Amino acid sequence: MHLQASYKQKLIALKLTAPLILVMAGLLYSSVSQAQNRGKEIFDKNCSICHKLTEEKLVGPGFKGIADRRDKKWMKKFILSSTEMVKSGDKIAVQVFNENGKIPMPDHKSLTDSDLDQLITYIETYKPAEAKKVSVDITKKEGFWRDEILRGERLFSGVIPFEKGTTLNCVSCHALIATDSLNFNPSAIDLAKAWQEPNGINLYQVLSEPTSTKMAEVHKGLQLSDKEIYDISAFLSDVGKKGMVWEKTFPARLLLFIFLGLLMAWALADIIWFRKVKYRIIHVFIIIVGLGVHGTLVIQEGINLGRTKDYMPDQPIKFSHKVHAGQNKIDCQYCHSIASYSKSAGFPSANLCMNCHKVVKAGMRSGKFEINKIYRAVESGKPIEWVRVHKLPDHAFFSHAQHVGAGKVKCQDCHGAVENMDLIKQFSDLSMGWCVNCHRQTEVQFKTNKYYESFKAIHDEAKAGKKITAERLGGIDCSKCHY
Amino acid sequence: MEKKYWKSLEEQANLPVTNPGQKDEDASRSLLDLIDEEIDSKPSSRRNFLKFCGFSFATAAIATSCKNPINTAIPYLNKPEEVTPGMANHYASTYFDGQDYNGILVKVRDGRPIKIEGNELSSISKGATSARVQGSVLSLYDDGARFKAPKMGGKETTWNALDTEVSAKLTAANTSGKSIALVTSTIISPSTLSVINEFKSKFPTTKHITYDAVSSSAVLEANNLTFSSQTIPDYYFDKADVIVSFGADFLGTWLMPVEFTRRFAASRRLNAEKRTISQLTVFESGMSLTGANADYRHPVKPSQQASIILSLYNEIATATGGTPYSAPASPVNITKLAKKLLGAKGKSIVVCGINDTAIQVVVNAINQMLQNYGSTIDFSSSLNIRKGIDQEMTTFVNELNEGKTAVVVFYNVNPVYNYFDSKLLVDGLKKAELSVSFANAIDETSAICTIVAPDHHFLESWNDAEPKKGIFSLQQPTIRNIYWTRQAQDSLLKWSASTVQYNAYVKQYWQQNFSSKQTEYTSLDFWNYTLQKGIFELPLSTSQFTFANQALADSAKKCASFVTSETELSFYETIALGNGMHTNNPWMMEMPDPISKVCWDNFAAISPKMAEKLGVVTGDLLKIGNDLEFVAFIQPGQADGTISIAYGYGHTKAGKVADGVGVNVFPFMKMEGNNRKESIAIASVVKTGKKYNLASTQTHYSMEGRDIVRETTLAEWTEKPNAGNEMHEEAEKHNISLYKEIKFEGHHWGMSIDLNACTGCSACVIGCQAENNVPVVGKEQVAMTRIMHWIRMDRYYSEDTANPSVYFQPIMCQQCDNAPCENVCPVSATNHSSEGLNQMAYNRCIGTKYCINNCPYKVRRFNWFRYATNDAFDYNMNSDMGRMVLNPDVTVRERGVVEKCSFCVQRIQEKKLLAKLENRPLADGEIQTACMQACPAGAIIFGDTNNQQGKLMDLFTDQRNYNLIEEIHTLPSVGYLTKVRNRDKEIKKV
Repeated sequence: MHLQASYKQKLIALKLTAPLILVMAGLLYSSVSQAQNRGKEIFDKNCSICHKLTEEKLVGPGFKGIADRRDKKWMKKFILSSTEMVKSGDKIAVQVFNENGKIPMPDHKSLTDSDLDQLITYIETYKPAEAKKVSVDITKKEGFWRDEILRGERLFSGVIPFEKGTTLNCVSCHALIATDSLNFNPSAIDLAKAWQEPNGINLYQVLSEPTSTKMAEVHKGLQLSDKEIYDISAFLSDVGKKGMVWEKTFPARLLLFIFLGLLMAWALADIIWFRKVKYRIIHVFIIIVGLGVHGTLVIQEGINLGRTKDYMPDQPIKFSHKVHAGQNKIDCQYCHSIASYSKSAGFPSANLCMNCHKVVKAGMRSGKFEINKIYRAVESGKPIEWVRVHKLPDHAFFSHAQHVGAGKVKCQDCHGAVENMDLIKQFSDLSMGWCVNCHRQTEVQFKTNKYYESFKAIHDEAKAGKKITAERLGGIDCSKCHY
Repeated sequence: MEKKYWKSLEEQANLPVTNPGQKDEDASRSLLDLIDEEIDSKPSSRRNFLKFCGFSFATAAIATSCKNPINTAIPYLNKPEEVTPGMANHYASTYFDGQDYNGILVKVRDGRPIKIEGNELSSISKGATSARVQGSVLSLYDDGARFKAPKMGGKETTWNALDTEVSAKLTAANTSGKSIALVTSTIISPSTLSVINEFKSKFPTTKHITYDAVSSSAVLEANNLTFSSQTIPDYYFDKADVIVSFGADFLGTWLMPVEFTRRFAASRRLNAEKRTISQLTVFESGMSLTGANADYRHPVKPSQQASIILSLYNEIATATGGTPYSAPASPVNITKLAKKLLGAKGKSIVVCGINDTAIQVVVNAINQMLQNYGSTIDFSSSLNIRKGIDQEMTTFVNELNEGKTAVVVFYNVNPVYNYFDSKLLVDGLKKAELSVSFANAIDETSAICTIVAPDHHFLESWNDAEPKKGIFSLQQPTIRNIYWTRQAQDSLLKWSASTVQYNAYVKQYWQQNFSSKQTEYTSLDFWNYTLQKGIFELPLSTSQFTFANQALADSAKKCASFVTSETELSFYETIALGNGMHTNNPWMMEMPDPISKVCWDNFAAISPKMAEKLGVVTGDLLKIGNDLEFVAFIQPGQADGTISIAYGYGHTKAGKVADGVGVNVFPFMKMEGNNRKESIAIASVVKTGKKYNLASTQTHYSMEGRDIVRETTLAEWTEKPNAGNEMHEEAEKHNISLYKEIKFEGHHWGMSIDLNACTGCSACVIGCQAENNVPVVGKEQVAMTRIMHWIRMDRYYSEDTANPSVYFQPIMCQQCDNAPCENVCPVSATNHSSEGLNQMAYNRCIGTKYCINNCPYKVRRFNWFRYATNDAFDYNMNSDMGRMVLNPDVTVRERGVVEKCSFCVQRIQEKKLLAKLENRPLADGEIQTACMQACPAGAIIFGDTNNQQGKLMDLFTDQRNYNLIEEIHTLPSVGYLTKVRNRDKEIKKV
């Protein structure tokens, strides 16, 4: 019983102390790591501009082996105010000052003693991350074997789970197929491009040390072996080579067309030869409906030939007009600045993007990946190739200046509610009928613009309260747009 | 009986008009016959039928299933401040090719120079240009002929390798005391001359030889003899009442045709205030542009001109108390002319284009006696654009053959092609250790040079110019060099071991030399503002020269000694090609010569009388002398017993357009005394019996003897302002229509053309071609009347075939308010706009050509082929580089559609929009069509007829105004002002 009891007591004690020990250990660990974190924080904030933790000299000397060279107390004093020490004639301080090009180190009087302790501890205990030993060739960017590519594809799409299994797979965020909707995560081809570029991203590094908080958050718990990354990179090289696959739309109209065609053929054949169906009304009905539907389809398709209403292509950067024009309320003409006086509205140049993105370095949803593309373009000198959505044929002349500058037409009248579009979609069909209808209905700036002063006869009409449309002033003449 | 006007000799003689290019057999068969034959020749079978069906089904299937291609839009990374996509920038610059000077504005759209206009600030061009200047933008994109990289020994090399080689050879030549020859065209750039001087001081054995292919050597030398000044004075034709020209085509090719045309046109303008015009008398052998515009024209042999000039001198000398010299009898009675000249002392000009010092000395004496120096002829703003002395070049070629010259550098010259003794030059070049050519495109000279150091195109270059004393202009690059070329001046600086770049050099030169001569800007601003304006003009300084007549007696003696031969051959420059420098430019090649209307060839122009004697017709091959075989062209007005042939053709290594077209006549020039003579006596002319087709637009679109050209004389006009135009009133009376009159409530565009100002120079033709993306179609198509020009220069003759009166008439779409073409279009592709434009919607056009048939003015053109992106038309529109010149605001037309002049509707729209954006009414004269802007005579005025105060309405209400074929009530929007000739007697009614 005693035994039992003591056992029980011990068990209880153990049960009670164990968490305590764990908590204590935890506290101890966290305080050390906290100290290290605080030290790192201070270093990054105050020192890293001029000093490195290695031997390398920036403005000031490198810190490797500093503990052997300098006394801790001296260091504290020097950090707080090096200028005073130099002034006071401290031998070492003067020597350091002279050795480093007589550039005085700024004072850091705001640092407390514990701050200094933690900083010095951080500097002294800093060990450079050892180069990770990898079993694969991490520089390889092309020329993979077929089975490596296949394995990569399976890993990417989650057919084979990762060794250190998680529920995540790549394809659920990084799309393989281009779709007409905005997914802020980089697609597979984006990744492939970013990785394959000279000085592009290092897959092995970014997967172990995410570059942005957003990325760290979504990749949390994801641990890939080097071989797995290698295989995925093999697959990405393949994706990069083949380019994006477009989602195939189901050819419903074509099937309907063929089906009705066959049905009509059957009905005709039955009427002439087989005569299986007694009621002629069925044949007649089939043929009339069939011809009707065929006619409608042909006319509709014919009219839409060469028109691209609702065209919404993927862009090289996941640029969202909703974010820029909608949420941030940036004026359209801030970026499309020449619309009011030039023929084109103007695709903003990358230096214009940089006006804001010098400061705004990460997006709420897209993280750094997309914005980095602007930086890469600016640095590499390779311009961004946007996909053009609105395009009029060459024989139709259209001037933005005429409509935006002179006519005071709102952008949205032709382009739709761009401020609500993530991905730009062609709002109007840009057909001639659409142009002409608008010219028939839209009033010109007849009374306000002095240009129209010479139109004397029409001024009388305007005075009589008549609406002066573009058409009234010859706005539907052929030669207004075709020359 | 009405006076008869005719376009060709066939028309005058009422013979059936045939086009040389047309095959006779075709004419005899109808089109239906041809189609039947075509069908018969091909077995039509079920198999063929299925093939066609299959093809159409396949096309339909492809057309419906194809996705639109993905278009990318690539914005700048760093947008340059001054560049706005979709808007053109204009940069002031300078055109000088060694012959013609023009202050220009270059229109640059999205980084590409696409059009050249005149710089309105330039006192020389005043915003006008010549046809060659208009065409020069195309040569920038001549990817077939331009050098892509430096060449050494025929192989492409690097600039470093080239510099090492050239520097070594130059130093070697300099140390061994052998001379270095720098052969250049006339250089008017002060900075370039300074660079050459630096080069000379580095290499003291350098000799700078100025070589003009067609030179004014005699004028320079004569002025040196009589005024001790080796310069060419400026001629103020606008201040002259009586102008006499002996073979100087000052409206076409002589010295400064653009400025002279403007001045001459000013002297010919008539309106309520200015009621007199000058009188022009021309003595020449071939019909030139100046001759065609003359009030009196005397066709004479080249050798007879000397005796006429001498007789004229004697008449004037006798009257003014000078010494007459013994002279042979003048073939033309010049007593009346002498009287007129004497009556207009100080207000007359006698010019002479003959390259003979003795003749020029006598001409100078005449002008001196008439007191023209200082009033109409002025040395104070002397011309710098011709400096070449013929003897210099001859000496150089001789020295070269003697082996005295080690290094030869050619800059902007092509003597292997255009030096008369080319063979001697080529032999001599073999003796030189190094020959360098700065040519930017292939030519005959660069082909035999050991080194080609290609120069930039002038639109890629920095430079400056001093075309006249005290008148300066700057040239700036409008595009970065397309190929790996380097400016010639930079090469010279580099070889002189200078580290300065030429653009910095020019800037420094200007800051040092010109900044202090003005007070308008600070020396810091001076450069930027001057560069923006393109010009810098100093006030005229007065310089008087005293006339020395020591040389006169000898010259007169020489003039009296000219021997006239039975047949004489003379050479001339054409408006389009000049000395052959721009022959590889397809626009220039296809520009019909204003007189002969022939393009794509040179020919031997002979008089109708001579043709009759020889029994030849146009198209027969002639054997001229011993070794010249040429196609004959019967030219009304050609002096009897003379043959005229144009320079500029017969290239062998100048590019795909120029090579093998026509024959080179430069080798037939002769050195006589100190001057290269442009006319020679020939022993015999024989018909060979062979035939050759010339592509001529002469007989295209004949107007069937209607009352197209209206003219009068000054005397008649003074009496009656509507003289010669009486029918206009009659036609106006009948302008009654059953239909409701159309009202044009906003604008109503119109154009007025002053036939008295128009000289026929054809700058408008090329200006229009550049603006409106008009394709080049080639000789074969031109011969089939398929030339595409939207504006054509019609030329009519009247009266005597031996010496006819000539009329020029630019014809573009008349934009009829009651247009016959509109009514017949089955698809309404051509209809009337609310601004009075006869508009043409290419995408609606189905190519029935009914409109072409129904147009009384024959201004519509049909696209028989796809001319762009078609290698069968290997000119400029079939290469990416060649298409860079296209105007993005004008549609490139597809095969099977009709096109025509649009009144430059893109320019109308552009300026209207500008007015709207600036919230102001449109100014009168703000809109300039391409033809109007190019015209050096100011003969074309465009405007709004609804603007009663506008300049256009002034002209439309002038009594000289008439419309073409107005009696058929087409109500054209283009009006013409009658031609007024300053002839004393009334024009004979034939």
